[in-house]
Amino acid sequence: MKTLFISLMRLGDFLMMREVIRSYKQKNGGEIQVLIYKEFEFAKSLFPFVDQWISIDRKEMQEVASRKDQYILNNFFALDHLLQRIENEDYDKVISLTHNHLSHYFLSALNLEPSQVIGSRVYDSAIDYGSPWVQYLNDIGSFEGVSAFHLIDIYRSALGLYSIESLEDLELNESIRASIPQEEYICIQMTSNEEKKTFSSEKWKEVIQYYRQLDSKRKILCLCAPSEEERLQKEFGELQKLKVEIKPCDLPTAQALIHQAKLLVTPDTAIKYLAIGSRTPVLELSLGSSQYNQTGSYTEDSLILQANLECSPCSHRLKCPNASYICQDMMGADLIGYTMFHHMERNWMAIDILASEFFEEVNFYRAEFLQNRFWFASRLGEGALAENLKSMFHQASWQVVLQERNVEDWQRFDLEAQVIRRYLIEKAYTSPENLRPVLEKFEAILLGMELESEELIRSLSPRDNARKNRKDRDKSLQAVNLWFDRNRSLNQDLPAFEQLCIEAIHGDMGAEFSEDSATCRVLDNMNHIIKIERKLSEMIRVDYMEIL
Amino acid sequence: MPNALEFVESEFGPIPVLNGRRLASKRNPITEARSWVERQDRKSSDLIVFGFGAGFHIEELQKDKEAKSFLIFELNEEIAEYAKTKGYEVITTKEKLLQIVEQSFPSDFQVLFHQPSIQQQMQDYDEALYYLCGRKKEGLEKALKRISLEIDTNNELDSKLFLDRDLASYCKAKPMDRNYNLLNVLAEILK
Repeated sequence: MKTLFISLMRLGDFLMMREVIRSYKQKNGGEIQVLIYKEFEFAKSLFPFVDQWISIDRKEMQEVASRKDQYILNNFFALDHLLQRIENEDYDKVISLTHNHLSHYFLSALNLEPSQVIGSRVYDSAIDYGSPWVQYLNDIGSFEGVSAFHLIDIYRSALGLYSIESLEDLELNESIRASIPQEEYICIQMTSNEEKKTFSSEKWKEVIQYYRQLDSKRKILCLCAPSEEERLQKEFGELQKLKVEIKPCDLPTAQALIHQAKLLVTPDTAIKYLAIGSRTPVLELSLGSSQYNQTGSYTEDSLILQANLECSPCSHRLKCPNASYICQDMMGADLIGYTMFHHMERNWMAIDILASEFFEEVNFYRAEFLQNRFWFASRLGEGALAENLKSMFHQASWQVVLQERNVEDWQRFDLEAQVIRRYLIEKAYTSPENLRPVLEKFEAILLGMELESEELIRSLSPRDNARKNRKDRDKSLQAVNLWFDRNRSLNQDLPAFEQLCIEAIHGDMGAEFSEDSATCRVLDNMNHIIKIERKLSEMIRVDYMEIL
Repeated sequence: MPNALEFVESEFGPIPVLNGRRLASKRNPITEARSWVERQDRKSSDLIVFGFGAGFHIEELQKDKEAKSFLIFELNEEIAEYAKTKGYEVITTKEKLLQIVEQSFPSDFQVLFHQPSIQQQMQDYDEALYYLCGRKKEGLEKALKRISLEIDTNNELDSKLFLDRDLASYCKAKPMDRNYNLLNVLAEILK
């Protein structure tokens, strides 16, 4: 068995998939090869399970492209040569771990059979994904929806891996071992490669001072690349008296330090994925374009803080139109400092109180692995349970659809219902009195969602949307997207809804839409999701009615 | 000003002088030629040298094992004749050059410039370079033809200097075509 993984995006995206590759190798054995950009080869030592590396030298290609003495097809020939090499390797599987235009074109250019490829590409005049999970990822992107799953779960499901969350024993060399402090410490990653995701030095100083109010003992290691050391020493040198140490290190050392730490505090950077396989929880400050639900810290009991803003997360490519980064401003230094301490202490009661207190400003999410091994971000704070249940119904329903199970076969939803039951009992069931208000609120929210859905569906109706120009089509599509995102209805009048959808999509927008297979597929899936959610809710209702 | 070629004698043989400018060092033409070979930042082993000059740099390049094959392009007819007397085949028109490149070089190639030889006809050499390397419309058409793609007819393309990253957008779209997809990969990498 010979497998090629392709990861042609950012370093963080590549590191995030480390455990997917490792688990795949554990399950399937054989030879693993990985194609990455040459500039990320320095991370190779974190992947001892990879047998062979292939790289694309992006910088060399950029240089060739900038020189007038080079034939315009020189880079093309270099790529062609690479593709021929891949085709001649006779891989059993070629798996793209990124879902972008580049990987789509790359896979489309390869002359490989469908059974060999997982990833989006054009094959035999149609788009082939190799897995419904990759197709889902594509639909989420195309329709600007919110993913119900973490990217790691999407890829591990596409590859048939039951779970990748496992503790890893690092093999440490002498120099790495020597750099690990003997005393207890926490790690902070202050920098990121995006201004939107990075607090100012002044804010970090404040954060540390607030943390120090609660913990004067533990050392604070500020991880950084060797190239950042001088700058950080200048900016934070004065904090030495607060037991703060600037720690320049390479990736293997950073990984070892994180694995031994009591806590890692970081914005959305590649560093957070080094905690995977350890017991070290991550306090992730999800700022700017960081999409916690797809790329959040994949470590049990990690905590993700995100500003409660309409624009959050923003687009990766767009500059923030505000005078200052409001998502950063809303996350106060005191809140972060205190949360750090309680998180380090695993004091979830205190964190829950903080989450309730700051419910309006900041969303607190706790990363958990559900009974079915899927990652789930539970919102914390008073009143969050109903919202979590909605997300859980949604996730469970999508699992049924993406595992290509018969959506009419209600008997086989037992596992999904069991996951939700268990979550409900763990989170809320201390007594029937305790559960009753939660469920009442849950019902009330569902009712609100239903009204919202009806409103959206009405906006799609032929009467209100008679013209067939592109602007209206886009508007309608947006409405479908919104519905797709928000509708978690459990009591939907299904026949009426279906009728409205048929009128809206096929009636008003006509042939243009009916030929759009992606749209039709999404609509089909919407119908399935509604049916499954309704059935699951009936199963759960029976349970709690018994309890009450 | 008409080209006027003369020669001055040196202990290494005659040195051509074009319009009053020597095309190689009189005292150390071989050292100069070696230095020229070393200075070239080569990305390909198939080379095209623009400018024959006194030919010393060509002799040095012949000794270089990494230079798998090379062609000589010289626009000055008198120097081309001189090159022939030294036993070299020299190409004198851009059309002929491109034709030979397409036949002889299976994939990538690179142009090396012998500045003393080309500086008096820089504009003509530049035009040949853009044509040969596919940076102008006619050359691009030929380049795309090599990989079985066609230029998308668009008058605006006439005055452009084409870039690698935009290659896919210059082509007629063929989503099922391997080479078209590869050009799109290139565009994404060079973004």
